[in-house]
Amino acid sequence: MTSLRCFILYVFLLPLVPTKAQELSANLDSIEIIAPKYLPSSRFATPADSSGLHLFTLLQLPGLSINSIGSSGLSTLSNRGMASRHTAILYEGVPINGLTTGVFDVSLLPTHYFNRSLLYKEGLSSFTGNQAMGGALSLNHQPSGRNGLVSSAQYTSTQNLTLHQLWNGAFNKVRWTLGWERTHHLNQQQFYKDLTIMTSPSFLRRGHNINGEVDMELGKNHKISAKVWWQNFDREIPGPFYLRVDQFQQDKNLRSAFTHSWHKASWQLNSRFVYFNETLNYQSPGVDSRAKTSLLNIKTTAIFKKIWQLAIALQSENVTANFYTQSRNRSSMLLSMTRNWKLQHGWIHLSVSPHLVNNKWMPLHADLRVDYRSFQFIAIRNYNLPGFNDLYWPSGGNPKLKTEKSFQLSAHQLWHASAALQLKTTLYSYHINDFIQWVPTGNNTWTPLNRKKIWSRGAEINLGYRPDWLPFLSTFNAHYSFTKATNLDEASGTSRGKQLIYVPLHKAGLNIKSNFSFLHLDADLIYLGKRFDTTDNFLSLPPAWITGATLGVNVNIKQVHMTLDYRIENPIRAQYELVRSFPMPLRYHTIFLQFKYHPK
Amino acid sequence: MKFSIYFAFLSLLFLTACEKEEPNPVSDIVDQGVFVANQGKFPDGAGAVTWIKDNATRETDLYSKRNVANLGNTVQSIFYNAGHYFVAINNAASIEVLDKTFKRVKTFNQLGFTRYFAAWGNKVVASSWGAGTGKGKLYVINEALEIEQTIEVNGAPEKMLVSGSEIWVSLSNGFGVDSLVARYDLPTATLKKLTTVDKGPNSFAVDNLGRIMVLCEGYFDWLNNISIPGGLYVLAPDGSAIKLISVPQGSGNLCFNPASQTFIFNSFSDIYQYRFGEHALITLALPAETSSIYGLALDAPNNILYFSDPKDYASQGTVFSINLESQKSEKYPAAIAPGQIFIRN
Repeated sequence: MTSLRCFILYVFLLPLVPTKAQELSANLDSIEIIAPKYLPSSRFATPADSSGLHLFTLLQLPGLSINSIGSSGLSTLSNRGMASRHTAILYEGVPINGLTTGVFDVSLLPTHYFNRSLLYKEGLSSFTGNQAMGGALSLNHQPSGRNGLVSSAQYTSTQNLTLHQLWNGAFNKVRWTLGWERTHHLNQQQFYKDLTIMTSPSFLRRGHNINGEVDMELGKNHKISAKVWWQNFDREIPGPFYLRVDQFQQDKNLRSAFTHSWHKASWQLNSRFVYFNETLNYQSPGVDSRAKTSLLNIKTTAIFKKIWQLAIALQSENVTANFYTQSRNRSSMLLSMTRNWKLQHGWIHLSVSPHLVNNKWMPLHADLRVDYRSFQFIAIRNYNLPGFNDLYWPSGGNPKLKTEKSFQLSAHQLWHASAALQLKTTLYSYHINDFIQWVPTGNNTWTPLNRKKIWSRGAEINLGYRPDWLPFLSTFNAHYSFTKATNLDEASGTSRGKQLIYVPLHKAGLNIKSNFSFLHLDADLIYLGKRFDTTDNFLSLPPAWITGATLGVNVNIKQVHMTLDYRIENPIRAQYELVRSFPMPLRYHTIFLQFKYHPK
Repeated sequence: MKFSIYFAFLSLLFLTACEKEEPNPVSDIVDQGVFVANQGKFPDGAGAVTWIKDNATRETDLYSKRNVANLGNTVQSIFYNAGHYFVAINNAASIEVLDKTFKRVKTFNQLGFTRYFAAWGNKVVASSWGAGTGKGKLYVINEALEIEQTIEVNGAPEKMLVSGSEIWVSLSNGFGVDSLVARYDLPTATLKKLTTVDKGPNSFAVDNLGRIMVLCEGYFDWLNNISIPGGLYVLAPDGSAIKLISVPQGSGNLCFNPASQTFIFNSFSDIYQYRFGEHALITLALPAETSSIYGLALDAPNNILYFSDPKDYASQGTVFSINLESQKSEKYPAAIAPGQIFIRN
């Protein structure tokens, strides 16, 4: 109750803080078609520049957790204590989370290609539909805008080789990008087991990502674009402590999108056609599961004077799996209406989104965002559909599951103490009802039930400092997040009131980037607080210190720009696990070499 | 100034380094008590062995206390014979051999999905499932702690019963559905008899007259959402089987109580008593807070029944005891997903 009072007090006091109004971020063009370009949350979207050498860049974002099965297994994101299935990974505004499991393995992302991804910390279901209740990571590539060729190679001491090619081109009003990333990872790493340093056997992960996109302007008012992303990966998944347990997985995913936009005077019309076709095969002793899924999404959005916006989307999802008794389908019609009111120093945005799923109306999405000077208040009502496995898993699937529903409040404040110092603060409170949980029942089976009530609340602080008194360019970023996510369910016995598993109460990070002439340095320090891994908080993983540093040189020879980076991960040889029994690697090294060629 | 900032940052990095404390040597003999194999949190948790003695939990994770190490993923069962403890770790495909102080002596690796143990004199026989539809195996471990014999079996072997120089093996559901009991001659490793019973034979018991009983758990038909019950059989010396009674699907952990001349076993939600020749099962009254039953064993000399409650398999489980004479019950904290129970008097 005290927390609630403090939260309300905070919400009412924040607008009194004198602050300077900020321009909206400009790099959001491809975020989401249904949402206006001036989507208010975009100002608070956190740029998640994933073009670095390591996925742990994401851990530098407050409130975000990665659950990794070691360094070569499944890695999923979760935000502010929400589950991974509540955090959408968006490609062209459509979640690419697996239809069967609801989660997406971020370890397969072509991190070199998606160089301008954005993380939406707030629920986005009103704009994207399912699976964005806990926010979304929108994958984006920002083309260089001119002809050029980028080639890079990355090799780590864990015997992981990644090759990358990127070709940007432009001719008249046509602009294209073609990206290719090849990985051959053996993931042979050192780790601690029972105070002994061991070396894991090789667990091969090989495959490639191919991404392409073409933009074309047709006359003054039309613009079309086509995008395609092909993934093909084979990998062996290690067991606990990198034991070989004969687990294999194949991922073959084709994702494509075709968009058209037209604008004239005060009108804008955007249309989108998205098609995904994905194959996920998994084999282990006793298991041979094969699933093919497809998703078709057609959407049209009409915008008038940036004030009114109306959208309609039709979506069809299909799963054919050898572990279901029959092919399963889901059809949705997603409607959305948004009204924006311009204030003297801000905006008020209200969205209402009725969704019809399998001929049944879902709980109404409502999204209110008040944007006043540098303060923002957000109230969202969201839902999340059960996954196909929740509904149709042959041993215990529950077709009567209800949707998970959430009510989310958050307040944000940007403080600009000076041009060099920026502070972002957030308070939030999320309530989720009918949280789906798999529980044991009779017959030695497990079944999902709408059982839990979850309350996740917390605070996030992000400090950015760019000192102008230094003779070289440097930025310092520090963050701290406090996440209290508890189970309120009366029937949960000893789990009631306890912190959700794998959600750290405290998380903090420090990042320094510097450029001295042709040298650049990047250093990370992340503190991941204690995480419980049993529902009654009986067992926990100890706090972890995650460290790394990069030292690199840039050399320009005529039209060729060369970068050579050396990165060290975990230099202090810290022993830590993101998921129990899957220790993360001890110290290892990476060499990264990149050539960029831009003809005049 | 610039260097001082970096120096401070790097100092922070190095200050975070820490070293683990060395364990205090413990020389307590683990002589008797109730031992519980806790599977650990699936699929990522390490299992544990809980030791209950003198009406109290002495250690929830005895192995890690004595070895500063984890047992590994999915501890299936624990056993004691001829001066050594044996722990089967299913997903790790291993067997840990421990001395009387519970210190590790030897680890057998790459044994498949290790399940249960039976004593053959001073030797130990361990059962193990094969991968997928692959054949299971029985490993005979001798006193020198060497695997002296490997017997391939056509199925997924579960619990076993040694009778003289022969061993009865329940070929249970494993990764499929099986309904066979096999009898092998151990010295020659030859199959003597295959007997068909209900689906899912999983455990044996011998009564005071020397009759061998086998319990079948049935199976669940996922396609039609139907629970197929199992059965309790008596095995004749010639290997033929006679069904005595149908039992609820999921029944397991058969044991015999000489005090009441009854057989005891459990399903997921109940514990049953059965007297030979009768046509009905008697359901035992359980402590009110029981949520489910995973493992069960009888301390026959003291007439105390122990069973494990795994709760949600993701929080600390409980072991309950019921004195079958006084009906007094106790509960003991265990680790995550307590399953098989082994009693050493």
